Amino acid sequence: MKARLGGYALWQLRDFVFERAAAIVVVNAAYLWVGHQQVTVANAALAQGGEPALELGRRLVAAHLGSVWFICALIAVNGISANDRTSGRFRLLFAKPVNVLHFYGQAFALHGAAFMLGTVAAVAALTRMVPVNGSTLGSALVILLVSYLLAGGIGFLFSALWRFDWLSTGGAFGVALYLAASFPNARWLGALPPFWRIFEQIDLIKASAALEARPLLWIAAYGIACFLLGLIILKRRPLAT
Amino acid sequence: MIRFDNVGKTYAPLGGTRVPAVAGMSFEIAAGEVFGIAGPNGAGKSTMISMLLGFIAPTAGTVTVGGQRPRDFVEAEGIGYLSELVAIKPSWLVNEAMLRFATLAGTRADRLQARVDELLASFGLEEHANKRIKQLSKGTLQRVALAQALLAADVRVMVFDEPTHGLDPVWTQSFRELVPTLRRDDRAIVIASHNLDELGRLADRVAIVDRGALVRIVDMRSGVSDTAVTRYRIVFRGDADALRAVFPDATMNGVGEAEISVAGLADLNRGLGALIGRGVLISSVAPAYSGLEEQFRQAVRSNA
Repeated sequence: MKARLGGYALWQLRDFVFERAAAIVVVNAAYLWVGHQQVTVANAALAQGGEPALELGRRLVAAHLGSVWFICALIAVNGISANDRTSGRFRLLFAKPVNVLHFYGQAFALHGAAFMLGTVAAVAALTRMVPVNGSTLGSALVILLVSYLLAGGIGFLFSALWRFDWLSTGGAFGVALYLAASFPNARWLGALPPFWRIFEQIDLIKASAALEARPLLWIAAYGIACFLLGLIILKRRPLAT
Repeated sequence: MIRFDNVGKTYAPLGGTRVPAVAGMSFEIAAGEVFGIAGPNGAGKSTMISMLLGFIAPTAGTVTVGGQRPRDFVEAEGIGYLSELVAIKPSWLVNEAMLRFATLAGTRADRLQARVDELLASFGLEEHANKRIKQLSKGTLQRVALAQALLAADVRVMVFDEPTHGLDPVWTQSFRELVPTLRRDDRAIVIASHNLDELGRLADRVAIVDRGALVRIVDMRSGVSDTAVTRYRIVFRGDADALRAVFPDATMNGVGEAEISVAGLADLNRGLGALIGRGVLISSVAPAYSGLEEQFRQAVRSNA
């Protein structure tokens, strides 16, 4: 008899809602409040309408994305596989006819969907405060998606490796941003997790420019490669530690 | 069904000392068999079970279950498993935990709640169904863990690690009555326990492990060993010197009671005949320890 992993997806989603969603909502709400303050200050631009109001909208969306994308992705994948190993819960779960890779692959996808839902809802809430045009919304959606793929993929990889995944992902984020700022032209930057490229794309929203396909593809490919590497490690590593 | 072929496992933590947990272990467990594993703390029982479920890989030799690598077997068919450490998320409700495990065990969606209710009733857990795992006593949690191990009725391998740990005498007895009902010609049942009396009652064979080595396998179906040195408690009326003359290593437990060592049943009966011939009246002879307990003591002593 095979596990009904599809049926278990509802339980995984429920876990996300009870254990992670509140943190994502709080982070988004906090930055929405900051955005609301800026709107109050910039009332004149809003009253003027037209391009000044749209520009304010673009700036607010960009500021919101820049503030929440990493922390929300981190919340979404923190301990995604390591928690089961360190708590010993894997023993009863994986004595059932469950494919470990399918189980955590499904969790990664569901957490991604929930991350998108939460963050897109926050951006939608922003559109209630300021006018935001369709292309800005489309760009925000793409940036959130590649953000999850990158930060989520790296978090997934670290979680497959050891228990301190949030610390490692946060460390990788800090180091990559520092090195990219200090050595902007270094060739070896290409090997690092391209976290700073996401901020570059967010800046394009502010400038009302179209997103660049190549960096976006690179960000997504980097995250997916990390996710796949995480799956390979999960396949090869012992479940018991 | 289950085969350990010259299996070894050495833990090698990064920057730490290498710790050999199991070495050179070979045995087979047939379908239809109830197989016990006994050993002192740290003997390697948990490592053996982790390898059997594919949670860790051996560093030497091979483990196969149903002819496959353990992980492949588990992912294809599942194993009814009760772990020694019952780790279930503390915030889950009992009914919820059972529904989750039933889903993973492959129970059909339309049968889920009925199957869970059935097992909750079997283990007297109905009144606890809406309690959180963290609210349960050790014994009740153990019953939940036992119930989830039985969710899939058709598994070919069952593993119970310290199954009666924390259970009260009533549920301990229920478990002992349950095991014979789980026997099937195509199913192997493995029970690891410190409780030798329990293994003696339930298992067909018992592997005695000590310090990572398989010291011996005791076949419980063959009854009292014909050759193993066994101690008996004898109650008699008569001359204690006559007893010592027949059984020189007899130790007196008090007036008219002694423990004797004999090398099997024939030796025992010869000695008793000689004792009666010397005018001693015997009112009772019984093993000082159960057969398995005696074998366990000898095995662990010989491995020291």
